[in-house]
Formats: sequence, structure tokens, C-alpha cells
Amino acid sequence: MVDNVYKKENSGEEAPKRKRQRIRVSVSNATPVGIAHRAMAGGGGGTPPSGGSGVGTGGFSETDVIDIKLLDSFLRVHAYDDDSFKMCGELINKNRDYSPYLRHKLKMDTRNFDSRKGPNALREACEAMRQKIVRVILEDFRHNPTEEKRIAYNEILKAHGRKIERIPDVKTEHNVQMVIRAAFEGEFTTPTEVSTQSGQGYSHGYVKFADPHGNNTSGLIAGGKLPENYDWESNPAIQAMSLSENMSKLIPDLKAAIKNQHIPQEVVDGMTISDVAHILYKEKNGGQAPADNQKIQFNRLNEECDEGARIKFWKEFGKDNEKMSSLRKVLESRGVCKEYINDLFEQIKERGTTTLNVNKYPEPHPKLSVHHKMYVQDAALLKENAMKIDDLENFAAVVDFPNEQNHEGFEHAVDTIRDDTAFRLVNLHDTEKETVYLQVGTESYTTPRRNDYTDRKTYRDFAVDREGGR
Amino acid sequence: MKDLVDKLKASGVIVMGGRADVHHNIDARKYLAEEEMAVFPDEYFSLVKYSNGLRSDKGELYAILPLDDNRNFKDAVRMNEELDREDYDTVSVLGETSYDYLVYDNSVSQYQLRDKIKDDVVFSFSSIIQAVEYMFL
Repeated sequence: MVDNVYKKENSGEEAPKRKRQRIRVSVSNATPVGIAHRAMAGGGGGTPPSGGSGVGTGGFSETDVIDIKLLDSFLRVHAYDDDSFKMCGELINKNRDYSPYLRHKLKMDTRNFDSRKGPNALREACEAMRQKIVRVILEDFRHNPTEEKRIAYNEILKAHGRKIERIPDVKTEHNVQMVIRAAFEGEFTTPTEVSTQSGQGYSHGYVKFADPHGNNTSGLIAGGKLPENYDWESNPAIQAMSLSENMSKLIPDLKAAIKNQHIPQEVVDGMTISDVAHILYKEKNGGQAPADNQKIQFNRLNEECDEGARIKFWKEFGKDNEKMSSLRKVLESRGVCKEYINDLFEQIKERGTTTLNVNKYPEPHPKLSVHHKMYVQDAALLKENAMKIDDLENFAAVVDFPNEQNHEGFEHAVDTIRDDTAFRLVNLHDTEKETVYLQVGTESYTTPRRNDYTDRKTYRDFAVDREGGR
Repeated sequence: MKDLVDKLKASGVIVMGGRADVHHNIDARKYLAEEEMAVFPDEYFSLVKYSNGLRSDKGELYAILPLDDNRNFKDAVRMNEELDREDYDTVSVLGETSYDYLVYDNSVSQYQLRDKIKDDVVFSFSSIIQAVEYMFL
């Protein structure tokens, strides 16, 4: 009988991963919110050995935290030593004194620090161990976010240009969530019927007025007339659209369409972004309604609109020689083949996309993506002095390589919510003067900000303001 | 399902995986059941028979035991283990976009896009075809 391939993959000294993780969750009382996701990819989660100080006590103990801090500074100071003999001895002693839980998490192999292995062996081993320390403290913090740990871990993270911030958690309005996604792709998607039934699609009022799913609904609301002094600015859908520079261009068209289609005030008051998409499409297409799950590109509705933040970001990136040169160096430093780089650059410049059929090229195969730098879910609270959510300075290109710390596992490793507080990792390289445009693992590449930055706020300013500048 | 795959191919901007090995599909089902994790929906297993994984700049559909030419896709089973959701026995994560995970929620028999950070449901779909069309077309 042939073994199950998934069990076979896990065969070895350790038990199947899922069962181990389930035990870990129960002992550490992790993540009170409905999600426990964004775990560290390859972060080495597992049940600590029985009797370890992490079991049942909320992860690393105070002593563990002090030991970690001392180890980090020890590695930093001795990374460039000529001879590793004395250092290895000290590491062996340190490791022996650590709690079983800390030893289990660090899995330190002192043989890697032997300088006889090569000219850079010691430095590389120290660097790898410091990266490991970052991974384990972020993982520990996500499950056990105490203020004491935040302060202690921030001292270690500072050297890596990061800081754990705590901010009040806010509920994101559904219209804002829709606008963030639509602005990124430069298009609306009309909802499915099940989305509307679940409260994420067309509003109840609009269903009664326009029957957008074509169900021949009985008792439709008749057309009406908006009051002359209708307060557009307080309308939730209009407010959400105002967060995006690109979508803002559709607001005058929307107002005209609402009047033209005689949509009554009671329906407009509860209008959703899905309603907006349906209204605009009908207006542009002589009354014809869009299908469910249909894409509606902004620039087909209004030619002043662009193709969306994602594609626009890459096209602008492709025009900037300094940024493209940095990207090329990053790819070359990891041994990405020339053909891949050339094809990728051509695609970035011409189409603003980065996905290639990688099987045509020898490894390694990088994965490129665009990410909002942070706190986009709080955009609505930034209001009129905010940078728009699709302002390109709010995005960074991310390059992930196989077998290296990836963006998700690092930048989002502490994303968690406790009671009314959210924790996030903040990039200290993103400042008033400089903006991060490219991230590779823990490395950040910056460029000077535009001159108009001083008039506006980014999500980082907002987070720091709310935390009282801590 | 074949119509969907043909549409995806015709788009020209989506990297498609090869066919999933039917034995690997069976192993994945068995493994998930034994681990008391939600077993992926039949529709998902049907889709990976045509294309074991999908990727574009918009998102990724995870694969079943991606090997060889499929090795650049994320493994659906391993992703569910790593993401370590509390509701692992009713919800399966099948893919992702920049902002959301594509999940199948057995308790309501729906595919959903859920915000990666907040877990709010942003879109719901009654079939994997709708979900894939939303994510890639």
C-alpha cells in the first residue's frame, strides 16, 4: 500500500504539523479574534517540549526575553570577529543556560559559527541567527502581545528598521473595503446574488428600486426626486469614493446619473458601491444593466480615469531608472537569469504587470507584487487631509524569493487584534522625507518624498498620532 | 468547469498549472479528514484536475501538492496548516488576492473573499466558477 503523500512529506522526527499547531493554540491561548491566520510562513511553529517555560505561560518568559536581547547584541558585536573559537564556546554556554522552550524555538547549531568553514561563515551565521531571532519574537508577540514584550522586542527590531505599533482597532465600513479593492484594480465588480443576500452587494433599497439581479421583484419603489439641497458629502458611498483620486472623478457622473434615473432619496441615502457600479453602467450603456459578477472598468465609464493603482504603480515604476536599476540589482544578486529580467522589465514598462510563466526560465523565480504599506483599512478616518488611498506613495513593490523570509511572514507577522487594540509592524524607513518604494525581505529601498507630502497624512502618521507619538 | 478553464487560457495573462494527480487529490482529502480539518469542496478538486493552481497579478489559487512545473504555486493543504485558523474544521482557504483570502465556508456553503487582516467577508459566491472569474478575469 502506498503512503499518503501529505503524511509522507511530514514523516520524520516530528508529528504531523496540523496536530502540533492545534496543541500550540490551546496552550498559548492565542488570538482571541476569529482569525489566527497570517502565521509566519516557515516560522517553525510547534509544540514546545514539555516542561518548557513557554508552556501555559504565554510564550517567552521574562528571562527568555532578556536572554534573547543579550544574544542579539552578542551576535551583532561578534559578527566580524577574526576567530570564532571563543565565541562558539560562549554560545554553547549560553545555549545550555536557556530554557528548554527558548532552546526549542532558536534551534541554534553552534557549529555554523565556526570561522574555519570559510571567510564569511561567522558573519553569515550571525546574520542568519539574528533573522531567526526576529522571526521567533514576532511569532511570540502575535500570540502574546504584552506591552513589556513590545518595548523589549522594539529594541531588537530597531536594527532591522521596524517597530511594533499599537493602534486602536476600528471597524472598516464595507463601502470603504470595496473602494480600496476597486481603486487598486481600477474597476468595479458587480455583486453576485449571494453577495447581495449576505449584505455585501446591492442595498436593500436599490434592489427594491432597480431589481439589479433581474428577479422581477414585486413591490418595486417608484422613482423619486432628490431635494435641491441634498447633502452629497455626507452620503456614505460618496464619502468612500472620495478616498480614491481615481474614483472621485466618477462622482459628478454619479450625481448626474442618479438625477437622470430618478432614484429616490431614500435609496440614495443607503446607496452602496455596488449600487454605484450598477447606476453608472446603466447610464453609460443606454439603460442596459450589467450582469452579476461583471467587471466595469473606470476608464470605460469616464476616460479621465486611469487603469487602477496596481497597473499604474508598475508603469510609473518602469519609467523610473533609479527604481528599475535597484530592482535589477536585487534580482541579479539572487541569480535570477537575464532572460527573466529582460522579459519582466518589458512587461512592467508596457503592461504594468509582473506575472510571467516561470517554467520557461531557470530558477530562482522571484514573485513580485504591490502592497499598500499599512493601515489602509483606517483610510476613512484620515478624512480630508489624507493622501488618497490610491496615491502611489502609499504603495511599495515587494519581491519575494523562495527560501527567504517572505513579505507576508515578516511585515504581517504581528497583525493581531486584542480587545480594541490592533498591533502592526511599521517600517521606520518610511519617514516624512523618504518613502519606501521597494521591499525585499527585511531590506527597504527609499526615495525622497514628493514636495506636497507636508500637506497630507499617510497611514503611518495616523498610527503614530493615535498612539500619542510613542 | 472546462468552459472556465478555456476562458482563463484565452485571457493570456494567467499562469495555469498542469493537471493535478488524481491520487494526490485523494491523499489530500484523506489527510484533511484525518487531521479534522475542513475538506476542500468537490468543485475545487474538479478545477485542479484541469489546472493545478492559477496565478496572475490579481491573485493565486493554491494547488494540490505542487511539484515540477507547478512548484511555484502554494500548496493548499500546507497553507491551511500555516494560516492556522481557529475555524479550521469548517473553513478552507483556497487562494488569495492582494487584500483577501478566498475561503470556502462549509457552514453556509459559500465561497467568500475575506479581508486578510480583519477576516470580514467582502464578497460571496455560490460557485467556484464565480469566485475564479472574480479573481482572475
